Amino acid sequence: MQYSSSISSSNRRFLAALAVGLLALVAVDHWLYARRGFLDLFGPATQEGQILAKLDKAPRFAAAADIIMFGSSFTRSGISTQPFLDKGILPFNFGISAGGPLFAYYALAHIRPVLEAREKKPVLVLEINEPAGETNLNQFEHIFATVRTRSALIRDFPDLLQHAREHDKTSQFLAGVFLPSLRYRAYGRYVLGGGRFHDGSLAGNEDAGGYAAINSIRPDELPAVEEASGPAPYPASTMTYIERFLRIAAELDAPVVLYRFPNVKHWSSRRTAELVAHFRAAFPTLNIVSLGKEDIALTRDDIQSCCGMHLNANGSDKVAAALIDKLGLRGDRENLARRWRALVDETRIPAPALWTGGSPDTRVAGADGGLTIDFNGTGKNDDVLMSPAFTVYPGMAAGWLNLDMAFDLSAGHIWVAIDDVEDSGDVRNASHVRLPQGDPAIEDRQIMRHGGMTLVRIARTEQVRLRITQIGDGVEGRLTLRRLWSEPRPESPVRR
Amino acid sequence: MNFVSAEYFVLLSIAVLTVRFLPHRWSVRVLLLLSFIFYGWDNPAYLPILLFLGLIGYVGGLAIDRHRTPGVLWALILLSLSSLLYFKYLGFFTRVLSDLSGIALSRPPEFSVHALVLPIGISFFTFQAISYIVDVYWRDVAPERSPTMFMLFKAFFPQLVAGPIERAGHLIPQLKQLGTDDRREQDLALGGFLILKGIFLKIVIADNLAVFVNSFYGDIAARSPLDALLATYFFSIQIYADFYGYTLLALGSARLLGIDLISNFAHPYFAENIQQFWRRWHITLTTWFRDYVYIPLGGNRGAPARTVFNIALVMLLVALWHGANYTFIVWGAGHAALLALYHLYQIGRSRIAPDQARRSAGLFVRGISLLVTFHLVTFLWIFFRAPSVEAAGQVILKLWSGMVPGSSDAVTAMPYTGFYLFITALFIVFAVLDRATNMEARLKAASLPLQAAAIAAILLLTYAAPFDAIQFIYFQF
Repeated sequence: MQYSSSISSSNRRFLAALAVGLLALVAVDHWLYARRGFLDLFGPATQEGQILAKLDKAPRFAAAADIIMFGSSFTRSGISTQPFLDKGILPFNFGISAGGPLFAYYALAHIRPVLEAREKKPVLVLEINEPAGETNLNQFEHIFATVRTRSALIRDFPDLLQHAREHDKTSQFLAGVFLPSLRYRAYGRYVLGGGRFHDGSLAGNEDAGGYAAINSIRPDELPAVEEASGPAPYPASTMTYIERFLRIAAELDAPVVLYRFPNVKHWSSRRTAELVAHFRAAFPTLNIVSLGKEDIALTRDDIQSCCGMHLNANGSDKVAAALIDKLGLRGDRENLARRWRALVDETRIPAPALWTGGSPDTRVAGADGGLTIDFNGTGKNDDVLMSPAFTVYPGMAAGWLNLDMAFDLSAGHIWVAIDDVEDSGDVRNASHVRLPQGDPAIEDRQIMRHGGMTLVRIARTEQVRLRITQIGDGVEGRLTLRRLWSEPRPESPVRR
Repeated sequence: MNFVSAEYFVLLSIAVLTVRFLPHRWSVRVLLLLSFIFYGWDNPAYLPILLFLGLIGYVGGLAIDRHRTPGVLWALILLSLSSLLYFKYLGFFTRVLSDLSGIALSRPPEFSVHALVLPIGISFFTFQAISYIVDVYWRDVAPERSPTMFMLFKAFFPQLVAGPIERAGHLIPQLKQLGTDDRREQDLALGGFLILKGIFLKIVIADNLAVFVNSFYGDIAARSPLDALLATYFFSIQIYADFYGYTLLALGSARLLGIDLISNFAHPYFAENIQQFWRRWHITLTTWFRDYVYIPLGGNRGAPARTVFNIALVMLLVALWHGANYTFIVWGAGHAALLALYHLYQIGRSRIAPDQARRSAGLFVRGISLLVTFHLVTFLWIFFRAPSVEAAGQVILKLWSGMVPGSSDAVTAMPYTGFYLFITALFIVFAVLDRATNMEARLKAASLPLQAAAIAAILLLTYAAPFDAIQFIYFQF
């Protein structure tokens, strides 16, 4: 059948328009994904933002850290920084929310050139607990946050496809190879809806070492741990990526700790032993140390209060201490401050002397420009001090803050809350972070903002919460100190 | 395999290239293979059911051509229905019997409803099989002698899992001409346009509203009357955008291969009465029931009581076709009642004022009729969507409490309501344009930059969709 030339020409024009439309989509995809345009537009409060923030600073820390930890939130919020620093050991917690061995491999590959250049290799800790093998712990976000080019995706296509198939994400993965920015569909509707998205999963609550503390305490007793009846096999792709991780470690000649998260409902010591034996046989030259439940005695006070299985700051300290003991790690206390300072860019925010609010009677200015707060003169929930507005984080979305914070240099504990956050758990609003006491490198600064890190020093912090308020259009912020309790602060982390 | 997925894009591309470059004989074989891959992609275990029904249809068609007796016809119909009855209705009817008798019937574990996972699209291809056998019996079509061609008719992937329920007389002659069409540019352009439209309806409209609706029905008790109202409207839009979107994707995919499938929709929400609605909604299903059940029962040729009975019976079957659940029966009963009332109203009107009945109504009356019809249909969708009759009752009570001042038990408000209202506005604009204009002709008449900008805008709107694919509602039937 013949049809007229005008019909033919209009069809051709439509097909050409379709091709141009698709090209426009590809161009937008390139800008959003390869150029990190989505983060530029909407800030880092996404899971991708959390991953990229860590990936970006990782090479710096990898060049200096004595121990680098890879894993999920069980690592990120489960192995604390402080016990290492107390021993003069510089840690870098490379844990990422929901990060499994797949992410660990790509994270290690990312810092491999830095590690290759180092004479003394750091200890590499790899979390291999069972949840990393569960089907719901897919690494979809991690793949697309880490592997930033189509060529890299295609290079690892078989293993990545296998992972996607095992986690019921085949379609999303294949679509992601064509258009990786389709990942942003998870956020697009919130952006268009005029709201915010909180997929960042605790974004902003990490200390400078990469640890994000949880402070609540489990209200009831720990359930008895059951001996698992049989081995729970990992998905094939999980094993593949553990092996790929270990291969790099073997080539670097870096010692490896295979870490199994200790707060588990079911436990199979035989399974752990089998798994470690398997990897030792596969990598005979590699120094593999196993760390698990048998090495860490947990109590109720070490577990978070809410619904999860995470460890709180107490438990995280225990894991860090167990690591130090098991590996016999010894640090260099004298040079720690120098090494630490080399990792940090510094930007001063308004000096505490310029802060206002509360009663002037509660504040005593120090000769060094610092400020001492007398909390005895304040009431519960009083705003004690408020800073002038200052630049917090260029490019930050209004109302959301990703501070990547490190707080409190001298007094042990401080609470950080991000104002106006829809809190869905017991952690997002509060961070409990500790840094070395009396560090000479930072002692003379009261509050600092450094590229990706905010440091705070307050003389007495036992009853203080630091609130970030009045976040402007991505450039300005204000800090408020507020007294939280009228009674002395409890010794252990606070119950909510 | 989901239509809106990367793997479907790959499969469809292979199919288009196959039809374009391979000889007809090979095109048919490759398309059949691709159809099996399409169906077995998520669960290959269901493929034997499709093959079983294909075998019954093929052998049955030849058999009934030779032995044209009602006994053979009924035997073949029952055989075709066997899989559907087993997978979809066994558990339900056992439950109904149990409910009616008040005795919990003991069933072997393998007959447990939970143990049976419904093969996707089984209702669609079962009905297609039955229509083929009946059409051969009625001598409307000749039996297909090529098993490959017949199987391709049964399994042709664009229409396999959610229709349109194609008749042999319409589809098989086209499949026999596969690859010989010389209007390739026209087919590609129309196919591309229909797919674009389908993507917009499915991803931008239906999937977004599904998030609100699913969230509401996930915790009805905690939601406010306003949420109930919005969820009711949103589901009405969602189900249409979802099913119409699917249909457009099916039509567009087939069109890329040079095949013209029957359209299932004709602007149903612009219907001015319930009868019109059913003539515009899921057209291939309603014509199926009309041709194979309603008319053989006597249609509307008998006394009013008989017609009402026929309507009620057909709507009961339509309801059961959708699902083995009391909710669908209530939904079907509601539509049956409306159709019967409308039929009686028409009879009364033609008797009392025959001249007026022939005259078309004014714009105002038509507008009111349209709104009333839409709201009646939307109200009945509550039963279609709710997981149980009790839950539907809960939604209705919630709606009622919103109308009575002071009786509201509002608890929470759903987030991002403004966004969903924006999506609703997009849908209304689309529906009006779709009804009032020939969108394809309008788009094609525009300049190249304008066309490209419109297409790019639609594609970019997909960034506003939820991340995880939401299954087409009608895939479950």
